[in-house]
Amino acid sequence: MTHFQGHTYAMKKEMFPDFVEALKKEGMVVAPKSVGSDLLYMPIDNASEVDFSRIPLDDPKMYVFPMTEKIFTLKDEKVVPLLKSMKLVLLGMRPCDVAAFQCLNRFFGDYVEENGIRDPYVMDKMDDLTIVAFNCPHPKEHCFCSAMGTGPVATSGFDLSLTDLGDNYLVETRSERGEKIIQKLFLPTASSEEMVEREEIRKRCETEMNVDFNAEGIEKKIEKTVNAVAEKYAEKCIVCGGCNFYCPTCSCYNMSDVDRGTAVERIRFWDSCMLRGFTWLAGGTFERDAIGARMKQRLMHKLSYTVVHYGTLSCTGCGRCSQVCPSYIFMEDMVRDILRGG
Amino acid sequence: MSTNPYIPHLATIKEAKELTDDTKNLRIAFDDRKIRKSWTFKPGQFVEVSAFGFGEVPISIASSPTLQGCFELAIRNSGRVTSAFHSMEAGDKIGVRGPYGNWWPYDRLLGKDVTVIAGGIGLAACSNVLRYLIDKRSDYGELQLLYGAVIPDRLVFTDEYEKWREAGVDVNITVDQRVRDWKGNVGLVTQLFNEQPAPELEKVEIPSNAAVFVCGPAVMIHFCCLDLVKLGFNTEKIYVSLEGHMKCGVGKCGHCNIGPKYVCRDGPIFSHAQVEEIEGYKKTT
Repeated sequence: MTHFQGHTYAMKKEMFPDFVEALKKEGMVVAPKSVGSDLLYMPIDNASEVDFSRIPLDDPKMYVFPMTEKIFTLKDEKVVPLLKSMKLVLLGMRPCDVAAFQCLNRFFGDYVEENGIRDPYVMDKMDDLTIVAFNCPHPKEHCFCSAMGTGPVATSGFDLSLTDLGDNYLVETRSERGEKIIQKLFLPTASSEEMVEREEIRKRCETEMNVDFNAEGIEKKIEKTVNAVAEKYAEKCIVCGGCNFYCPTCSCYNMSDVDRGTAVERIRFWDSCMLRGFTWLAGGTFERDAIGARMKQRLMHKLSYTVVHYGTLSCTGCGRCSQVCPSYIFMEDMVRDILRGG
Repeated sequence: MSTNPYIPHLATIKEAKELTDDTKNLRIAFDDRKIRKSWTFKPGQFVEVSAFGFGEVPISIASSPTLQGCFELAIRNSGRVTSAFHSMEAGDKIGVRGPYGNWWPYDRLLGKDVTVIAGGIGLAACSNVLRYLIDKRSDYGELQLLYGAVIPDRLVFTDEYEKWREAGVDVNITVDQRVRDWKGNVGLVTQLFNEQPAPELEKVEIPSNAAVFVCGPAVMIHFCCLDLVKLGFNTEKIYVSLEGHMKCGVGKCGHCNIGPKYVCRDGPIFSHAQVEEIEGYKKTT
């Protein structure tokens, strides 16, 4: 994706069904779809099912890193890997989630130069994935992507992106794969006016987001202030792990065996560093016993350690953890406090 | 090695021996002849070992790589998976992934003195290097072992101490509590060498330029390192084998992450200087 020179096209909204049909040729199309009052990333057949009107709370991460996944089965004294992947198109991923997928890509890929280990369960799905981003016309409550440098317009990490310009979609390509899909639709190149319009939409969205901080360089400041911030917010935390389970970059997992009688299956499932048992040692001790220590781990991992590991922050400013927290602990408040000295 | 890091190789327990009432020594060989021949590790590394149906745990390899065709694990019964291993006998099938992690810096210490200090089952994480150094005895200077357990019955590898002494290792054993007819040292392992000696304990002089390898319970490691530093040992020459809750062994599951390090990938062996830095990341006050 990195060496491809992208192009920008304009697509009349009437053509959106044709666009979806073209995507369907690339694999199963998954897009935000309204189900009751929920907006979920679900397989769709028709363009009419796609709902871009709201920002989904639902996290597309589960399509590359499912909540539970079978790793292998042991049967008749043979270990059989259960690697499952299929061609998939994620349509309508928001810029924050596109950035999150870039984090997951680096983490589960061979990011360590020496002894790099590729996680085939996640990476095979990544390889089979086509990403169609949807740039945000408006923010929702708790959005702070502009402070994290990931949005509201996606600049990389996708095959195609859409920006809603009213009657048209502005379509950007960032990969050969994306370009090939768009070639079939014979779209005109976008005009300079349309590019200006996109820039205005970005500015409008940023203004509406109204974020009063910028996290650039936070990894250099965090060590001084993180202890006080972690302690302050840990007081309110009820340790439900919701922040981790809704985070698009959280990648920690646990593994366990299920005895099916004639076979044994090893499954892996999401885990949460906020839970006490996460660091439970055989002797009965805990590496991070206090809630504050666990809150610090979560903040440090997202705002410092991944910069050391693979070069970027791993909080994208999507605001999901803030949205779901029953104790009203908001990530944007913690980031702001860290930047301003606790 | 398979490119899928989560798939264990099948292996068979060749011998299961009780070391103490809560620790069992398993001698293990891979079923695949090719793997059995080519598989090797460095002293200090660990494997992820599966009791199928129960789960997987990280265990330090207790044997030396000089032992060929098989390897040994000393497993303490301390949870669901380890208790499954305790009910196993010779002939039972298990799964093995690895070896993982770094190793004791024995390869950088040719001609130097090495002291191993261990507590309880911690000896199983150092016995690998001790046995290796004994097999390469002429390549090293003075070798020394300081080992302590709570009670005599909890000492592991007891039938080897004489052999180690004969091989030229200064073996020093102590127990925390006097029990029955125990005639040896009574006192903490740190009291063997620190400045608060116990009355029933013969003091040991650690060669001042020795590299010191430490493994045991967290508290023991903590005080051991403090005392060594007090005696003037350089924090870069004290090495510690840390444990961590580890599910994957390859730096992905996230459990053993402390600071920017993963114990499984960047460790389990850290210099005391590194440990001091890591400890800071655990605290908030």
